[in-house]
Amino acid sequence: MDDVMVIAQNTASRVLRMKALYFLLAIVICIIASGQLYGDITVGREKEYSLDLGFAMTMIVGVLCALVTCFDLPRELREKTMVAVLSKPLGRDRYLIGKFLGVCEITLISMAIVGVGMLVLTAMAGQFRPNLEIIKALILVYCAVVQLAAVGIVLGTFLKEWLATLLALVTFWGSYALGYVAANTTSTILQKIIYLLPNFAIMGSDNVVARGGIIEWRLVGGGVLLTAVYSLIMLIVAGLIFRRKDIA
Amino acid sequence: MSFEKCLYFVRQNPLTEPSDNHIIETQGLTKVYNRWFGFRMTEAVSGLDLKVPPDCTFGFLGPNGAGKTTTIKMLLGLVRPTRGGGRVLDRPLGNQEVRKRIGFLPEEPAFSRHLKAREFLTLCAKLSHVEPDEQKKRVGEALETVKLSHRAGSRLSEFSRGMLQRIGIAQALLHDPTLLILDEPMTGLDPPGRREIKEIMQNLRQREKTIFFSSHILSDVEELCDSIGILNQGRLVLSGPILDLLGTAGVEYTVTNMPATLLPTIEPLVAGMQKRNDQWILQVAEKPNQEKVRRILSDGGCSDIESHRLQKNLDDVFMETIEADNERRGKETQHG
Repeated sequence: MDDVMVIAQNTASRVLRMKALYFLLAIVICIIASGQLYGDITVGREKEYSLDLGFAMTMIVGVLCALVTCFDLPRELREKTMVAVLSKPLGRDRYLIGKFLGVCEITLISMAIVGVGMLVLTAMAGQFRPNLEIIKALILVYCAVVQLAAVGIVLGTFLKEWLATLLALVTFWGSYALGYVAANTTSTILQKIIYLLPNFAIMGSDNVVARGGIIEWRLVGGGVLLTAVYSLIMLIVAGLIFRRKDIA
Repeated sequence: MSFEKCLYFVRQNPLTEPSDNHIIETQGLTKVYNRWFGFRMTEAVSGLDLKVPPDCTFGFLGPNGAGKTTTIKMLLGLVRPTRGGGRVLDRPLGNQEVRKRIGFLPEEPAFSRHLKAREFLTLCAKLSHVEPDEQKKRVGEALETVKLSHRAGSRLSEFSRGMLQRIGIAQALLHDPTLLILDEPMTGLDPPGRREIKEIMQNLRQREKTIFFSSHILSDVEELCDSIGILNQGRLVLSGPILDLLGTAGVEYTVTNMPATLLPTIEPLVAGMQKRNDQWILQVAEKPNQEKVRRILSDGGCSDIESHRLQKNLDDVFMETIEADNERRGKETQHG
């Protein structure tokens, strides 16, 4: 397991050295802070608006971090940094798991920074007190982003950076749309097919919290389990593709 | 396992028995790259039968695009062979465990440039399964070997090509491998850089490591190697101990006070002749002519005759081999 953690740590440290990440985090915190001003023109819905904006920004940061999986693998392959690493006694599966864990780690750190920023700013404005429901909603948002990272790993094993990123974004958009289709369709076959794809709509409980609703622990547990299973399946698929790949 | 599967397995791994003391052994190793969904096929390596004895420095030569790097990547399991197979350190190609005993320097020393030299080597030590309490010591030793201890705290992005090459060798040495595979270790280096890498390789040879390295800098290969293999357009065209392959290019006679009357008789038999003061230097290529010249000189009254064998240089052998192979291929294509 040590070598997996080495890859994870190296991936995370490389992302942490990207100046763009800090710029993004600063911008996002500024947007959340400015949300307090825009909230005043929403005629009595400033609390929902501020929290919605906070969740949206956390998700954007999470998605952008998760997309690292889409371009990190093709970039390492193109720049040939992968050659030296994979010539070590490290299985390709373990390399992929390390990459995935590294991205999950960096996504968690970034989302935690934005999430804490959101909680502090909304609390300072007197709109919301930090509560467990917000944490639960953030956990679900994180689960959705982890699934996206897992999809990114699969796409990154066989596509170019731009195409993998584009397809991951389409998956992200489509997974919300498909979630709503699955909820509203009467066809069980269609429902089953849709549930083979990542279903982020299950995770979209942030608006419930913004309106003062409660998220059941059952839903959080289900979301975490679904993410674990889905990520595992994606990693197996990525591993099968990556094992056959020539590191030329 | 079905018969078809067995057959497929045997075709993919024809060398299922342990090799007879060869560090590297391949049989019919072939790599075909398919591009455009199989519409464009490039045979990078074709039916390669290679044997590398232990405890030697083996030079893997060939012009650009001959398939050297593809072969090395197949040996390391980075590229999957299309056909054929082989064994490295008595394990099938691509075996993960065997990589613990192999050190590899890639053709382009592309490493994580954001890391400092010591950080990078520590990362490699962890990936090479070096014991945690040994890692610091091994990293220090490897930096010492490649003479980069003073730059241990510098980022790799600040390193020159030569320094990166040396760091590449250091990462290959960390786990004290039995076999070192170096892909073009001297390419792109200036003369002092080349000399340093050669010194490192000579030191490693003294430590009884088997070194397999690819290069097209023939003078370096001639200086460093015990055995060579020449690859041309994916095929191994010559292989063996370097001294056997270089053979002799003839004999050079140095004759003092040779009578001028012998010149017309000798001239047609020699490949080259030169006069220096009172000495004649005669180069004779073919064996029958060597005997004839020797007899003429003895019978002609020349008592002071020195002779020594002229050895071919690798440059000549390489060019002759490549040209002969290209010619043969040309004929094959015409007839085919």
